[in-house]
Amino acid sequence: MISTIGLIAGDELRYWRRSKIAWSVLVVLVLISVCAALVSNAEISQRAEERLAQQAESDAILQAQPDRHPHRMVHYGHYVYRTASPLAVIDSGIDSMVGTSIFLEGHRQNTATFAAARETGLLARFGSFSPAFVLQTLAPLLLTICGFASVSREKENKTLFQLIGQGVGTNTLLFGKSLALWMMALLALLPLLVLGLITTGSDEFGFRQSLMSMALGYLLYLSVWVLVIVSVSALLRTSAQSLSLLLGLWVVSTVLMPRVASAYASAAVESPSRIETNLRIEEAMRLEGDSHDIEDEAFVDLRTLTLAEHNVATIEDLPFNYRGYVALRGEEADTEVLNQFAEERMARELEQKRASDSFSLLSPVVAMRAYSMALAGTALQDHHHFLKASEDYRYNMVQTFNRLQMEEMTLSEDLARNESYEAGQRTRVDSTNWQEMPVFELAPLDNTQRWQAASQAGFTLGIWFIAACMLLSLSARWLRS
Amino acid sequence: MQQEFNFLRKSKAVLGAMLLLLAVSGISIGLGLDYVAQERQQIEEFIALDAEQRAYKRTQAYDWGGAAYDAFHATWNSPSDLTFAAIGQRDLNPTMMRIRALAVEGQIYETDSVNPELALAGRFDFAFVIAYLLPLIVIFVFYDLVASERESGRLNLLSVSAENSRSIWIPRIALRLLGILFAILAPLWFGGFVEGTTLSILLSASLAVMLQLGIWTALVLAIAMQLTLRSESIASISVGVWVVLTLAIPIAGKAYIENAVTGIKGAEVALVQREAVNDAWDLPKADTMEPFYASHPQWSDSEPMTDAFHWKWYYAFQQVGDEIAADPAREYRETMLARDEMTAAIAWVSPAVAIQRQLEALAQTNLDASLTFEDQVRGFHEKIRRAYYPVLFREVPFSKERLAQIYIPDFSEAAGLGSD
Repeated sequence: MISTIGLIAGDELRYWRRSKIAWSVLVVLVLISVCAALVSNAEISQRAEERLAQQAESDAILQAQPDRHPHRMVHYGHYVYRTASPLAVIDSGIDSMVGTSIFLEGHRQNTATFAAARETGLLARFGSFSPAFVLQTLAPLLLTICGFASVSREKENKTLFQLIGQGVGTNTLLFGKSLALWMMALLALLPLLVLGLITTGSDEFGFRQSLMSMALGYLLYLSVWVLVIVSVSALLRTSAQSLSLLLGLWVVSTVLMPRVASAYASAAVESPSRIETNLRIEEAMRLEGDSHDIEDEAFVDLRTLTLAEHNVATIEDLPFNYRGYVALRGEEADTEVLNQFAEERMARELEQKRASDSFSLLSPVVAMRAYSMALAGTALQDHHHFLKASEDYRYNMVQTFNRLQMEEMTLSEDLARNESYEAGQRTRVDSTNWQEMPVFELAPLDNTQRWQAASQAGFTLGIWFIAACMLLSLSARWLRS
Repeated sequence: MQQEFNFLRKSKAVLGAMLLLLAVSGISIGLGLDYVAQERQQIEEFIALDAEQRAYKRTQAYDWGGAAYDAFHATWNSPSDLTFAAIGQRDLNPTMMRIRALAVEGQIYETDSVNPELALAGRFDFAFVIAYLLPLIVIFVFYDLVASERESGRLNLLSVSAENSRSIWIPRIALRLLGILFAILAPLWFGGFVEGTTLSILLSASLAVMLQLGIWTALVLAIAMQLTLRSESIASISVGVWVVLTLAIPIAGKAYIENAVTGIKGAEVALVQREAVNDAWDLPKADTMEPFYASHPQWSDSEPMTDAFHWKWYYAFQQVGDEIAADPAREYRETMLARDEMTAAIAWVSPAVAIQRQLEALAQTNLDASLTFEDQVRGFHEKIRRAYYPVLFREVPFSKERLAQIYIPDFSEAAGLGSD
């Protein structure tokens, strides 16, 4: 039986060699996959270089700051840039949709600004030329064009009954046809693997394992298409009918469904505008008091407590600058409020993603997209990871400055700082302190975390594969009768 | 004609395709209307919240500089009456901003937070239906127009029975076109009716849609009329053409544009302005005040300052920071415009890009519209800034009564939007 499957597959491949369409499809597929790999590699590495250069520039600027009052540094802030994951060359995911840089300063959490998509304009919405796009969208179409007539052709030429008459089982026949189509799918996958292996060369975050899981997922996904194409070709009477149905399926699942899923998600889980959130944050922070003003009513309790703790009568008697202490505690309270809102937003975005991902049971493309992005490290959770990491960095940076204000000057010096140039000089802290600040380095999520995010979609792909296998065996049974 | 009508009624697949198109464009319009309504409501709530916040801050004020520092002003870009059909770039461009008297360059690039994964999938709006799905429906409806007759052996019979071959096809094509047209225009006009869209805009949009339909019908018929092709080949080739025009050219064009027009990045503009504003703190006050008085001679007779902090110096270096960042900011804008111009060139070879551009222009959801909004915000910011300069530079003693007299118009008034 195995050899018969091989014979049938070989026969199909020979038929393709003779037919012009199949040949051109094959050439197009290989050409496009290779092009996509090259273009995407060039684009992503350029972006990565740009951001590394910008980060280096920004770090250098911070370190070159002169002696200053530490609170000036809190407002001076710092820019950090998001680095792209090495597998972004295969699936750039949300990379172009989210801001590349974020400004970190005291009392505020800014959003990441300057998304590449905004700077590119309208064309950004048409997608990116990446191996993921080729495999998710184009490969199924090309497989359809190659395989829609694989069985119906035999019916129309009346060769099907001959084959069955010769004792070829319908299961064997359909497996053979699928195998031939499957080889073409493998060919499309090859550039992805090669490119992925190159970019994950020096790999410390398990991207190579992710690449393997990803390739496996694409194999499963393309197999689903192969099995569906052959099944439809077996089930429908004419080649024309099977082509119409397959093209319809392709349009609905690859073009329509992702957008329907996204529209559904944003309607199902409403999100307030950023500005409304900011206003609510401001309102919440109003209660925390203004940490620039040590007389603010919000800090009355803090003062009593601190004085009692150090057993002194006035804030001037404290062993540190009380103004710096208020700044420190104020930042702590502000950050708590800010984090609460940030977490709320991230949770809502994840909920929207779940709503959108629920369409993966209606279209394997939705599942494939989610799976691929998650493993490539270019999904929503990776962006959230960047936001959290930059927030941690911001908090530590600001509190370092506040501690300097607390420890490097007295309260009376600090209060008098605006009175004259000399008074200002006395509250300036040595610039070596900025040079000692650790630089921002974003460690990506590790392989396990990426896999956790991808597992649900991977599971759905598995379900699709099983369903497609069942469809094939059903159509084999149908063909027999 | 009657005969053709009966024929069409019998071809269930074609009717099914038209019903599908009607449903899909209906849904897209429904979603668009919902989006616009949601946005209007957000803007309304924003304006109210903003006024409340500003009024509160005014009660807390104790000096001019602080009052200006805390007084944010709402600016917004209301959806146009056709936004429901082409949401376009609105999600990535800011639609609402809060502006205060500080350096404008530090405020104007804030964007709304969109869920990036949802944005990535693309919008399911009417423009998408027309750019992507309409051509596929046209392919489906017309690809076997001739071939099916030939393959069923009726072609010769038909051409014998009709006086000339044209008279068989024209009513058949016309009827199908009318069906498609109804399926797309009925939802659009319904949406237009709900939104009270200006008639001329609705007509222009309909015309653009009809042009797209015409182009694709002509393309598909040109392939379908090839007598040597089997219907499967016609379908495959037509879909191939669709892939090239709708997916390949725009994506390749995007990659080309990003490489061809590199220009300055927004992040660099932000860095320049940040540096300019921050460096001022460490420079002697004269370094700020000299260029400031040069560009604003009306305040040059203001009282000289001591070494101590002074608000008028603070606002002067905000202004000077903007002036330093003006060139990079202009360059940033020109980069985006250059990219947009190249996109216009690509539209000549991709109907999908062309229709998207046309609808976004009519709906005012394109780059031009977002830059117009940016200009309005800049103009408004200038008014805010100038409202505080007299009290700052004349060193008028602070009082709540005088603060209440500082008049800053509402954004809609300042930008000449009229009330809405």
